[in-house]
Amino acid sequence: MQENKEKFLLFRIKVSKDKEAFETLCKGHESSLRRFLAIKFPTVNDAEDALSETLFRTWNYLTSGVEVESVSGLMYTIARGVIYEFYRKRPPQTTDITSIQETIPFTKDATEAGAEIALVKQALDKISESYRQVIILKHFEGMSVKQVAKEINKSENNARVTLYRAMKALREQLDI
Amino acid sequence: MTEQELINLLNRAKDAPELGADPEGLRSKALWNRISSELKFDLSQPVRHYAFGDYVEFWMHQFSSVVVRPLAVGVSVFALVMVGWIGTVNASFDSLPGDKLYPVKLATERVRLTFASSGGRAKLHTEFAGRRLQEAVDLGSSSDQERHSRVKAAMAQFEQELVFAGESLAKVQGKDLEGAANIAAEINQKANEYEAVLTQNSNDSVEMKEAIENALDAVDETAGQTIDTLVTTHEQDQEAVKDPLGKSFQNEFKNLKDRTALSLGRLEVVTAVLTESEILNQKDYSERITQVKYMLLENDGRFREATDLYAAGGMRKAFELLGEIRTRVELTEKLAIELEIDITTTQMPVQEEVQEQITEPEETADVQTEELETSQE
Repeated sequence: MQENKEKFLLFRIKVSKDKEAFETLCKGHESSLRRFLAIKFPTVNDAEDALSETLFRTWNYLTSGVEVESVSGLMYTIARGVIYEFYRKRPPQTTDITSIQETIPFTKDATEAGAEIALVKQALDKISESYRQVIILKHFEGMSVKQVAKEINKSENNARVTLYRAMKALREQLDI
Repeated sequence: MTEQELINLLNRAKDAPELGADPEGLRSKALWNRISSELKFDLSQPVRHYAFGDYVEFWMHQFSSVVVRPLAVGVSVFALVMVGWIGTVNASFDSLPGDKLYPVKLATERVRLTFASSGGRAKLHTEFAGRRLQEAVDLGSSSDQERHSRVKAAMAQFEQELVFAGESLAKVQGKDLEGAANIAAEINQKANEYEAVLTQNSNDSVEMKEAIENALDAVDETAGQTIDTLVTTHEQDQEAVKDPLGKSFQNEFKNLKDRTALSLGRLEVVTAVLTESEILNQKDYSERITQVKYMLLENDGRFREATDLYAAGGMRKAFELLGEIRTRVELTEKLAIELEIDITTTQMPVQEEVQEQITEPEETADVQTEELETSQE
């Protein structure tokens, strides 16, 4: 039924340029896409700009008349392009503890929390994209393994194995 | 670090904005405000609930994609027609995007495509392109509130039909060159008609201008493809395409000649107006007019060369030369328009100054009259 709903919304966008259908379609992927971009961009504002750019381009693509097999695949492909263009124009900036400390209140708890977040972000940035995606979907978005499998277009077993390897890779990054 | 410690860490970090969390939905709201503004969504509209007709349109589309096309003979479709679809099909013929019967019109077109050969499909797609164009024109003059989006959709479909026509023509060309040439001639004729319709229906809206320009590009592309087919066929069998190729050459030649004459006429009018206003030598009007005239008159030699090449049988070169002439004619038209706009916008303040000068002496005369009256008292 979910697949048919997505097909219906895609049809509405393609034929009638239905903006409400576009909003409904995108809201299903917005949260995971926001997290995906947040990890790749140095600031929250950069990530939000990239997200809006991704959605503009998705709209243009969906209304161009080209058939789309997977909206999720399309949006992530466009998002990767946006990331690439961003870094082509300026060098990547890593977030380290010193720069985090300059922006957050100097209390013990806040500093430690900020440092933790920065470390998690750095570690997620260093693992492969497929690993990062399953961790975001499972632990940030709160999806079940079955839902994760559907989102990444793999079998449940495959998703489970990927998740196991992803957590292992993340642990290795954090233990360095 | 154990698995559980890592999960706990991720759970602590997941609500951080740096990792994309938006628990209160504020960033999502700002994002959609931005998108709505950019793509001109109307947030004040109530949430739309889809009607039964919307779902029917979708399922008909799915039906035709999944079931009808694979059925090469289409016996079940024929049975559907016999069960009384005919009246509905006839009634749907004049429907426009947004009408209840419009999906029936599209479904009928798809059925016709299923029965057609590659050559037939090329002609059908060209015909359907004409229908989309007519729908766009009809919608443009309607009072439908959603006409702008529907017109744009119809124009996009027009372009798509031309692309499909080109693809079908290419398939025919691979099997039957002479047949492809005949089809190419027909499509070329239609393309010229569509170009005329598009040019006549220019619109003030920026969006529509862009849609029309894109459609014109698609027509150009298709016309170029048909010419190429005709020329290729001619290179293999001169007699096979003598008539259609000749017609295409004559049409294009005449079109460019007419446009050249029109541009020269416009320049004469502009020169006369500027001379009368004694501002011909202001700014660089005179030089610009001369430049455009020179470019147009230079084409005379190219026209003669194209005619000579055509007469000698050098079709490809002749059409390539016409293509070059077309590019120059389009450029001169653009330069002429820019010149006219420049003149109009520059001369408007001058006209206001002249108007002020006319009113000033009147005011001075009024003051003098008042002073005279006062002194007499």
